[in-house]
Amino acid sequence: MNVNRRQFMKLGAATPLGVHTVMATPWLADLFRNHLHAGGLDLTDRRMLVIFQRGGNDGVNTVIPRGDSDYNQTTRPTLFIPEANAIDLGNGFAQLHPGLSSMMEVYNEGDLAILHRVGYQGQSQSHFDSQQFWETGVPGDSTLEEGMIYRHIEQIRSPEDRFLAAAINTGQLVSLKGANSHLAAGSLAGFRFSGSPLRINKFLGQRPGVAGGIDGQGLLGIIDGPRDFTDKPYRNLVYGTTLSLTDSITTVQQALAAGYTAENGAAYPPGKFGDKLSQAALLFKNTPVRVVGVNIGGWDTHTNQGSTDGAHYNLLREVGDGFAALRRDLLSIWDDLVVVTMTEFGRTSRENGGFGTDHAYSTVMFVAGGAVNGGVYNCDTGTWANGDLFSVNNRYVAHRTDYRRIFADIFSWMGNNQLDATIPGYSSLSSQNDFQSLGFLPG
Amino acid sequence: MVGVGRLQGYFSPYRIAGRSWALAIVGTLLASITTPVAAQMEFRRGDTNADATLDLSDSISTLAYLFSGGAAPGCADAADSNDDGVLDLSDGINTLNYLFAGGSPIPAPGPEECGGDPTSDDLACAVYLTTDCPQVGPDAENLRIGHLLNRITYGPTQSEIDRARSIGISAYVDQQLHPESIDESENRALTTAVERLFTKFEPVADTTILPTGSFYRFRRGTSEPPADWPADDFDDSDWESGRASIGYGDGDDATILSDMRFSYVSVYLRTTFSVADVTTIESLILQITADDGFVAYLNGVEIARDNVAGSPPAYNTVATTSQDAFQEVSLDAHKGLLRAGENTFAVQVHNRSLDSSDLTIQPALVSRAPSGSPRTIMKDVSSLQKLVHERGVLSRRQLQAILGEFWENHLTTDYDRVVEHFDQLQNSDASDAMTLEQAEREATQLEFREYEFFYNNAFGNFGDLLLYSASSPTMLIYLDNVLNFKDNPNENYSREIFELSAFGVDNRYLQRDIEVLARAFTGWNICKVAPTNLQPFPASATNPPNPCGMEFLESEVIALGSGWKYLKGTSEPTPDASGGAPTTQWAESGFDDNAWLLGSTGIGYGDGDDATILNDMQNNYMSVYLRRSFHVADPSTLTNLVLEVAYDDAFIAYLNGFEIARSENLSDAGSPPPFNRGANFGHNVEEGAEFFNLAPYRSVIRTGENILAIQVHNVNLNSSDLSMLPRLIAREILPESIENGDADGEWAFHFIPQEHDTGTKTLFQGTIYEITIPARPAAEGLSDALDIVESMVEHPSTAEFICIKLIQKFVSDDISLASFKAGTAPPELVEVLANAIAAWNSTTPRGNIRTVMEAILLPGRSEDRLFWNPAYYRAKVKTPVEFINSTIRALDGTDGTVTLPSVNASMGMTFFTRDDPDGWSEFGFDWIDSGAVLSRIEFVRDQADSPLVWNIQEYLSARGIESPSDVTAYFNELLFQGTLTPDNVTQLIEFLSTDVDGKPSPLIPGSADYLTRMREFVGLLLSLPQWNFQ
Repeated sequence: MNVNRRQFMKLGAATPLGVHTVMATPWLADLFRNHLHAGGLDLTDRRMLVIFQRGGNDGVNTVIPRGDSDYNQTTRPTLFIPEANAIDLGNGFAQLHPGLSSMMEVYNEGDLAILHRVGYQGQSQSHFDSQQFWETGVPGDSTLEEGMIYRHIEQIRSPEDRFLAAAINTGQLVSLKGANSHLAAGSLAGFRFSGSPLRINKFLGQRPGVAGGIDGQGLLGIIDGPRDFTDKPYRNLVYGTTLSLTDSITTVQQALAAGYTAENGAAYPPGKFGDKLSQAALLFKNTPVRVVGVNIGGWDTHTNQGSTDGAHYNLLREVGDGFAALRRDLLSIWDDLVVVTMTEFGRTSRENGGFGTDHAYSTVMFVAGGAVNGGVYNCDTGTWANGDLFSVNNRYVAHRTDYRRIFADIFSWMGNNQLDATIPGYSSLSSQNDFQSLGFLPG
Repeated sequence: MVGVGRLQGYFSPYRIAGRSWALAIVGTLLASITTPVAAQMEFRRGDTNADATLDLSDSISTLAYLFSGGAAPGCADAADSNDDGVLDLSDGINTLNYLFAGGSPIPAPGPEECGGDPTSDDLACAVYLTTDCPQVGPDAENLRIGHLLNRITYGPTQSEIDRARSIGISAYVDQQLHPESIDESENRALTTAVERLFTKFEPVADTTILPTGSFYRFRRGTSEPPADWPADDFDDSDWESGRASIGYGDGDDATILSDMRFSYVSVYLRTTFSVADVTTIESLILQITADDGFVAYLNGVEIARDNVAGSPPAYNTVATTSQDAFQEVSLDAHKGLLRAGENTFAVQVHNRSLDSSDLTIQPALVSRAPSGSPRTIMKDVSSLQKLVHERGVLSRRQLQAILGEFWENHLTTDYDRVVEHFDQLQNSDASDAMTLEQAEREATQLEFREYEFFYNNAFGNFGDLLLYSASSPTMLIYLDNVLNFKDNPNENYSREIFELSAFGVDNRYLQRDIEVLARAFTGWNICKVAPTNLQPFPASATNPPNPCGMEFLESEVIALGSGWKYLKGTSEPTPDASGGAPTTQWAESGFDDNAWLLGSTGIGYGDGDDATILNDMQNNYMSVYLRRSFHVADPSTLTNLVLEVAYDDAFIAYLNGFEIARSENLSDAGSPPPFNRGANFGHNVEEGAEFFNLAPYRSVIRTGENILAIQVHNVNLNSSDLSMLPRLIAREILPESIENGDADGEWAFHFIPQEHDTGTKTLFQGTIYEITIPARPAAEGLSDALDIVESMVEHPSTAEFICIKLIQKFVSDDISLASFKAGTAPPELVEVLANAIAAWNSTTPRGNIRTVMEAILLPGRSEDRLFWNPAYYRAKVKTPVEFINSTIRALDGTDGTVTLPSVNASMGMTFFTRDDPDGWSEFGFDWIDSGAVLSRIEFVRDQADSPLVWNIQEYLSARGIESPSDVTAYFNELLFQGTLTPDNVTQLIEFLSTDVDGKPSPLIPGSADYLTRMREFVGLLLSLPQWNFQ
């Protein structure tokens, strides 16, 4: 029978609203930090911060393949960064963009994995499609709207989990989209209902004793009471999001009330991105959240990209300073945290006529954390032949590792043993050369 | 499927829908119990297709729904032929058995009589289309009208419901499709609201008399100067000399008073300027940036002051308050002080306190004259954003408003990028073309002009919309076609016109087609024209003005070539005698450069553009110093003196020892930078020459010999090249020139033949759509891209993509280009698409939007149109603009104290300032997340609560509703077409019947908390999940 969405939603989505625990004890740091690591078996404290660099970051100038002689002033007249101005990474091949100098604080601790040549087969050069593929985990399928990280969260969900993921963003990231709604807020401070507590209480009312019951009151009573048009699209999304909103407001406001100061001299970069990172840090410290996602835009550097200064430098500076601040601030949970960047594609190896670069293939990811085996991957003499800078169509860097494998290693580390349910076709893909683990996290 | 414990996750790559969810089912959660819709109709059992007769067609409809993607029955109970509470194969068989095989009778109410469902099950009967069965729940006509108003208007209002009822649905749709048939002349609310978005603008032209950055004689205010210090005959020859701005502490001063803090609080400045003919000065303006207070004098007489007391203020007087402000002061009352010939301008500036962290003074004098006719312009971009709401809320031409928004969004451009572009432009004399304020004003008008075209042609031909967009100055700037030159094609726009404007992503075009199209677009650009030369579309695109923009004659004071002396920067050329620090003595006119080498420009190495080659420079020395002497017989004849510099990597230029220009990559390198300083970042000649206006340095130029000196620096020692190509030019601006900064001018599309790639171009090679553009003269090159753009509307990909977007907007987001191409879109929507495409193809030229909309909407045979199928009612999520506008419309309200564009942004949507070129999504899941839902709830509660938004008392009494059940019933009809479940209705009535503590308390009209409770109640209604649907 031809299953249609509405029936599927009805079957599948009966579930998301059924959380009926009593208002939980405030999720304060002390409570959940006391989770025991029973010989490393309890992985429920392991968390992830995902940073999406929207627009396509130029991997070639971010992590410079100095050992490839095609990286020179002829191929990149205004973008070329001289050897003396770049930061050496110690493997005799790769160098880091000077804008990322703060990241060396993390690298030198052995806590930063630099992963070059990450991409996927059939690379799309459309921002919109490729972002979606990175986020849904199904390259080539632009109809799917459910996030890969969302599915990962569903796999590691425990029955008592109520606040698992959040985006510090106006609008939910596709990565975190799915039937169960996760928090998405541009600013945590404004994430509350306005008005007097009395009026808010009356407005919200209370849920019925059982979902679908008629003994509820106010907004919650109606949302969780008998529904109309259960067979029409988006009902579970809209009802579920509204219902979970009240819970997440409570959690966020308690987290804010618990207070937060950046520790160990952490200095987040000024501006929106740094603000988002410090809010992410607050959530990691004061709530049980396991995944937080943020965006940083502006990477579509078609014109005037700059080299040791300029637009790209400024963006990298924010990211690099952000990494350094996160490590300092979150040192107490650093062994249980990974910070990972993603971006939809790299950029052309040759500079264009506008002193920038155009859409290309593989690019660079950064993974940081106390558990990470720091180092440079896929950018050394063993993994990068001279001329690989132009290994695709004489324009792009070919990928060596599929981004899904990178995430699979992080997912496993966080306790997800259902990778096939998280990354469609994972088992059959694992035999491919580009699905071999780079080993940047302990197995 | 439900289990407790560790979940059994699995991935089900399920898809049918346009964009589908693949769910990992969470087994740990309890299944919710869903109760069927209470809004019920009576029905005849077995009559699946609701034609009042039980026959073979009903069985076929049931089976078609179940197995071949047929439409869902509006009344599932009717289709449940055997009344077992499940819709399945047995129902089709039961009907066939009954009809043809003498099977058992059809359960109550049976196939003949209307009736309700006597058994309780999970099936619903939302709509049973025959008119002879009474309804228990929502009124079918109300449902249809509500659906119509939800989709082709920004939501129901009582008056539009009444109108649609009185003239009938067909006539109503027809009116909306022909907006000119709707008289808006009496729509005062709309006229007033729109008028408020405009302002009067009187363009003026400024002529600089005393430029910013001029040289001044100045005296530090350590004591009182002679009383006649501002007088024109005062002898200031022993005062210091320096260029404005003068001050300290905020990093923006050309002359820095490093000893001022803690030492003295005032500075006195004097300079002279000349005016040839005082009668040509219409209005005299002082433009001044002062931190903190000042008094200004013209020929010894006070003409302006701010923020400091005393006549005159004593040298140790502090400013009244702390400020750092740019201001314009009209000096018309003092025009009489001006003399033909030389005049003296003087100003004293005072700090707020001795320990103030900064001080700045930067004056300028301009002559201002009206330029062109006064006009009415859009105030600013937020007013423009508001226009989308005002039309959406108040206009009766609702479908036009929606389509105007739709096209604006589909062909979106970013105001911020346009502002940025304008802000960087220069005039002929290399001065900044305009202030940020003017850049914002001009970008706003262009965005408005573009939106207005889309609004006015909302029902027109798509080909016109597309060509307008391609040739629109905002699009040309936004997607970089203004940077698309034959030697350096830029693919940005050609990629997006395929992907986002016309064909849809990867729909019958390849990367090579993008590259070919980019070549076809080379030479497309913009220029300013006089307002009278601004042509209407399509002439604006097909016959762009030529020539246009800035026109000037150029004479070279110093040309590229010989006459230069140079010194290799192996050591500091003129170190300070005491400490060896760098000085600029080498740049001064009296410096003896006999020992320097002779050379020509360009000078440098490594990139093939040098006449004098420094082949020992790489890895050896970082800089090279240049000097050239030039003769000026009469400085006053040098009009618009401009320094042009093409360079690699960095430079600082001096005129007679005064710094006149510096590359950005040496901004923090000191004055002067040492010989071995590397540039902060690379720069090369191909980035284009930079131009520097030398008007502020007029006083530096001498009659007779002058020296232009330049120090050129590399980015690092082993850099592969270095270049310096300087020219000193004077520009005579021609009378017909429209300067970039001309406030009266209008931006227009412009084609530059010299920048066009004239080669042969073949698109869609090897397909039946192949187009070959022959090589043709540059003068005819405009036709290359014009022909291609005009042909796009005939291409099947455009028909598919645009029709799908219209269906997403008006019918269902359950189809997308991707799902259509993959063959996974619902068949009934594919059929709608086929009809729409047939309509698209039925006109000449193809792509008439009104015709396509008629095919989607017109209820001629309503049951045939999927738009009218009840399964599609209330099945789309409102976008933020739809949510906001429908809320205000439902209350017959206004925006109150909130700023609608900000509210829209808080829900995730902004018009005219979206960064990405793909436009906002029509997909419901893109709009619903916790932050957005919170913004929606906050907005509606605020609206319902605000007496500025609506007069709730009047609203209720005009409708004659006051009891909890009346009010609930009314809003149930207005907002939800009566579809709330009876249990919800009961809960809502209860809510109205409790006080703020939630305790039962009868609602008494006229009582103290009556209106408060009503407002809370409406806030709750609009906060319900149901209000997010249309």
